[in-house]
Amino acid sequence: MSDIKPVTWLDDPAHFRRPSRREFLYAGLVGGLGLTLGDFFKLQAAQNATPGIVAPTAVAKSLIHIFMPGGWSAQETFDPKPYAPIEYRGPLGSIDTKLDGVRFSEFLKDTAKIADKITVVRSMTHGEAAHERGTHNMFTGYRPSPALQFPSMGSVVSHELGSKNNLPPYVCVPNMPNEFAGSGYLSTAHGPFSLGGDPASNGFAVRDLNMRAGITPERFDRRRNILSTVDAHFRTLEKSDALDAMDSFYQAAYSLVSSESAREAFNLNAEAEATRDTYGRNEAGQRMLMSRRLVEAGVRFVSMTYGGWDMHAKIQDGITKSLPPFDKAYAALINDLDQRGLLDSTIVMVTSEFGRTPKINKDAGRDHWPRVFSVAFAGGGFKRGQVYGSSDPTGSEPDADPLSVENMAATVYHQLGIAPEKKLMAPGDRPIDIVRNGSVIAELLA
Amino acid sequence: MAVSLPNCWRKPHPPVLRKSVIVRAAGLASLALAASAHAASPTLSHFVPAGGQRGTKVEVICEGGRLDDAKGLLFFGRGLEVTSVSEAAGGKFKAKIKIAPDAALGEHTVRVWTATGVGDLRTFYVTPFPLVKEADEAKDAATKDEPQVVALGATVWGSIQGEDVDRFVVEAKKGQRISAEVVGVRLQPREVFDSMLTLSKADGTVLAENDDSSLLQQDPVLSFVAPEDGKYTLALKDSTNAAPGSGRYLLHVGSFPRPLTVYPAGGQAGEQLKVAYLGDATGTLPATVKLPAQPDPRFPSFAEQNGQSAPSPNWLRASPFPNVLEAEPNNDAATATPTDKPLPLSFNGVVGAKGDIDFFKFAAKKDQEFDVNIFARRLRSPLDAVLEIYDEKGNRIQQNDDSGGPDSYLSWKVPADGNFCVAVKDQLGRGGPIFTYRVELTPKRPEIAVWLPEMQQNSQERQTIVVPKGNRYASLVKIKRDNTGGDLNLAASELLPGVTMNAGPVLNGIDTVAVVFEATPEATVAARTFALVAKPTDGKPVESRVAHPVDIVGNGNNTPYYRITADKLAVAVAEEAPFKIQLVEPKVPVAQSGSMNLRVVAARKPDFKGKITLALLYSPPGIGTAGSAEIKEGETEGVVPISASGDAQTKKWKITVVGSADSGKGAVWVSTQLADLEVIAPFVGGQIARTFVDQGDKTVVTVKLQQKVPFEGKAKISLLGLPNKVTAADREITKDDTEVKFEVLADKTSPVARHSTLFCQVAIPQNGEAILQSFAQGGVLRIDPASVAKAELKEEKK
Repeated sequence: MSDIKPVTWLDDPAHFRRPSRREFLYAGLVGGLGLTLGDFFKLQAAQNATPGIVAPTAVAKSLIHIFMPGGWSAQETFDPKPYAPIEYRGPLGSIDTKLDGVRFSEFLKDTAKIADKITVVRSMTHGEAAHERGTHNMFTGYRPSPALQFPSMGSVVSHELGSKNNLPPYVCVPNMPNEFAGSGYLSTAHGPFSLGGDPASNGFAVRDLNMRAGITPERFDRRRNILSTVDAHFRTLEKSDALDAMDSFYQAAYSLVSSESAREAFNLNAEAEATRDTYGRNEAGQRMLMSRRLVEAGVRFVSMTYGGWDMHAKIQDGITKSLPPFDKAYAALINDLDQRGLLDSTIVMVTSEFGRTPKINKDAGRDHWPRVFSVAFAGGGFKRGQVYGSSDPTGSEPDADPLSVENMAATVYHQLGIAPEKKLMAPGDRPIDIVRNGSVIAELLA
Repeated sequence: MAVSLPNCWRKPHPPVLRKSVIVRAAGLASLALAASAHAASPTLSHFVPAGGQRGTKVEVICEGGRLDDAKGLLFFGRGLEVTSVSEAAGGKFKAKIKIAPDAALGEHTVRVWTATGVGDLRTFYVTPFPLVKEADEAKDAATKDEPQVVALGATVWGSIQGEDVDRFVVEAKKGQRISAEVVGVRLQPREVFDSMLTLSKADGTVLAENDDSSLLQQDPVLSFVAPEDGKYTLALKDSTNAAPGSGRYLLHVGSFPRPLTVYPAGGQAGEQLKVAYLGDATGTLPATVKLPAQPDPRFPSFAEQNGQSAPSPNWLRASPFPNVLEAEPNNDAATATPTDKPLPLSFNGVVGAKGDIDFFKFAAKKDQEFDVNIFARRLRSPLDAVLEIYDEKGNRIQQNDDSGGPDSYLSWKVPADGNFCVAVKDQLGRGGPIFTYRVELTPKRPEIAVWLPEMQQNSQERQTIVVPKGNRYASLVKIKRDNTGGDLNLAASELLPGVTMNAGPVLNGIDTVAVVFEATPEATVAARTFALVAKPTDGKPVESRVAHPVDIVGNGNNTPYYRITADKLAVAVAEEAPFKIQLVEPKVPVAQSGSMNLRVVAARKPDFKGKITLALLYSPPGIGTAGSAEIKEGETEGVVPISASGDAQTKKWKITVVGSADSGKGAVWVSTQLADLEVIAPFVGGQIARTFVDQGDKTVVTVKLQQKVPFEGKAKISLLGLPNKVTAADREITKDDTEVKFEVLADKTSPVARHSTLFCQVAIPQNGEAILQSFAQGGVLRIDPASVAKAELKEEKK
């Protein structure tokens, strides 16, 4: 048995923390929208050092990270324990899937039908039982360090692969979900571009993409000309690379704003009503549909969240409410990507910061449990239709093929054509591995 | 006496009797009003105003949730009576409260009760002064900031939002005392309203200011002697300039005495105690206090002067033993204040100046065991006491800081016959004229505290007993034993007519049990307070009482701002519930490493079809459940699966299943009867021999049996946890079998791997039912690729 103790709601300081002034500022400046477009492209070119490691051939062109904040239960999703004693098994039943002998939660009915298209990992493991630390692991591939802010995987992808089709390479749906989804020690240019609104809400529109009401293209051009005049004046006063680069940043932002095809990526109303229904008219559905539109248009890395899974009490009620929309949307997403021929070039990964305690607690919930939990991958060269690794009969420890955070990150980067052993430069000229000691797990891949 | 304030300020833990503050409770709520719509699980958030003048009638608005069928208020103290209750509308109703002329001043505790439930414990304040409503703020800017004129001797009730400052002008003569104190933080159950008071002269010169105080904690208090005839302004605001949405307060303004502590902080029960009230603006106020005849851990005493009483008390203890008062200098063992009285004793003093330490000398015998308790912060002294014990030569033997919250506590066994010293100082070396304390050195005494535990975080939900007519209600009861062990019996007294309690024994080492209350169909809808005690089954005399902690003002971090410990519980008979449930008594025990389905049958009223959520209220040690189960909509039977771990205690336990349903206006809770559940040792153990099988082939899996307890007849044994598409037919065993062989068939597509998921389940027949028991977890079956399959594979590659 591990020495990891279950963490109850009360044990985790994250539940009591008030936003600090610093976070407030951070949220106000960056978190709300991510960056403004001007900032975004301005900062993006800041880093381009390459330490001469050969990048693997990219199998996947893009990635959708569906993150389940709060720590979702493996027992009530991908790894039910129908034979375990009732206090481990929990209140919910399980169903057969398209994979022989593999059972999912009774609320993953649609996912069960696409089990032959995905890889479920039942042996994800790390040792961080607090929300923030677990989240850090899953977003950065690193254990938290007091000495360094690590970049999120999305930011690393942005840094390594850059922009395509005038689109921001790293987009958060609907918003930057946590502080670890940021650019860490990389330039803030590699931070996420956030939609700033929920695709599921009526009247949803992405900020900054469209001209403000009342601003005609002519007026916008006049404004640009005035800005150029000011910039030109600065140029006469000071010589600086940053100033020289300004134009290209503006150009990138202008091209996004003025490129109809780029803008259209964010236009959920362009989807057929039937498609929107298939995904589900709810947060899970519309966020996943938006994610598909974005990767289809050329966004490299979409990070989306759905629900709150910190079910310390009444897990049956929580799962009954939250899981069906996910199920419907996730299955729709996988099928949709597959039908459009995008699945093989798009990794869809479903993760959470940790799992939940093997035993049901006194409040009919489960507490935090990072020793073993389930994640799922699809597309982008991940094997279709397998369960990788297993947990022990009570869901307490990995039983076979434990998957570490580092190995997971290394495998994902590898599929995206990024060498996980490549070093990026942190402040103070510290070369830092993209993933430290991570191995590509061939068994996960087709 | 009906006043209580929190004791365990920082301690979220169960209460300890000797440190507890007790709410005096009495009274049978006596009111009847036609019930309107069914609205279970009422809550009470606050009263407006939250107090009234002694000897008057006051009409208050009671606000909360699910109050449509409100019946009245259940006051825990004497002297308050509800004379009428209005129809409820929009989550509120009006209650007329008659406050007796001799009602205790200060804080009273109260619950609302309805035809279908009992609400949260809340506080209500009796004041000696007439109530004055805070003047509504003038709409126009010119008069907006004009202060309200109030006479000295008033209790203003009002509210502050955000940056509001409520200003009041009082007129005082030179030398006249101006006193003010606030009830603020205690009135907002879910918000923090941390008020502060400023007293200034007419020209704006600030004379006194208070934010927090040792006496009233987050609420401010001040007293000041007017330097000249004239007008003075009291300004009340939130100390962060961000008062929460409600920001309700009571502000007592007057020329009443307002001492902050009292010395000595207690005496022998029944004695006429000479005390000095300390900290008043006019100086020390000497007085004689008649202590109650019975020991009282927290006795309120109100300073009086010139016929005026303080609106809230200072706190004393009435103990069964005499006082020793300090005599300075006593700053070391050599000069320690001596006594020739035998223990137990109480040593009283004041840490009078910065760096002061007080020593008391006493004689003790080897191996005597004592609790050494400091009472300072609990009695609202500013002292953060450190407790030390020295030998006569001045060598420190033991020390404690904060074991009793900010107050300190030691468990001390006397090492040898002789003289010893107890010493008290402030943790930060502070001191001053009001830093009073009391050290009680008492023999260890057996005590048992009983309360109803919190069922939902930061909520008082289900912490009262609400029994629908002709139905049952079950509650968990927590028991804390101090210096005593053994089995206990629970006994309730002063229950309502027609209500009975059914409880099993509380076994030694067990601190939680389920008890079931039952009301006859004829019982009348009513509510009252009742007492619950736990007494040793062997008849040993042990003091036992209710010490029921209630967080009046919680906060997210489980450290309440304001906690009250009530000495009575509340019981009510409610209108009929739409369903009843019955547990089908299992005819067989549950075996360790075994499982069982508890069957629950519901009797529904014809118009009630809804889902009934079930839960085993109390899981005996080693018994597990899924947390919740249900009787589906429209159905009458449900199952609560339970399992017993391998180390579940083999005993007979009392269990009950609770059922809840949404009445449309709140949750209705009922329970089954109290039923027996016996846990027994397993009949059979054993091991599965490791083996392998080719895909599409068959093999024999041998299970070596260890017969542990003989059983009658034939038991069905199953091999479970088999890999996909692997089957094994069930077999039968008798008590004489030493092994059993399963023929195992693997499919061609069964997954090739080493599967370590096998185990055995045996169903032992007894009384027409089966005792299900598992063993041999982790059995291994390896599946290898079939040779045929291999050959086919090779063919394909070619």
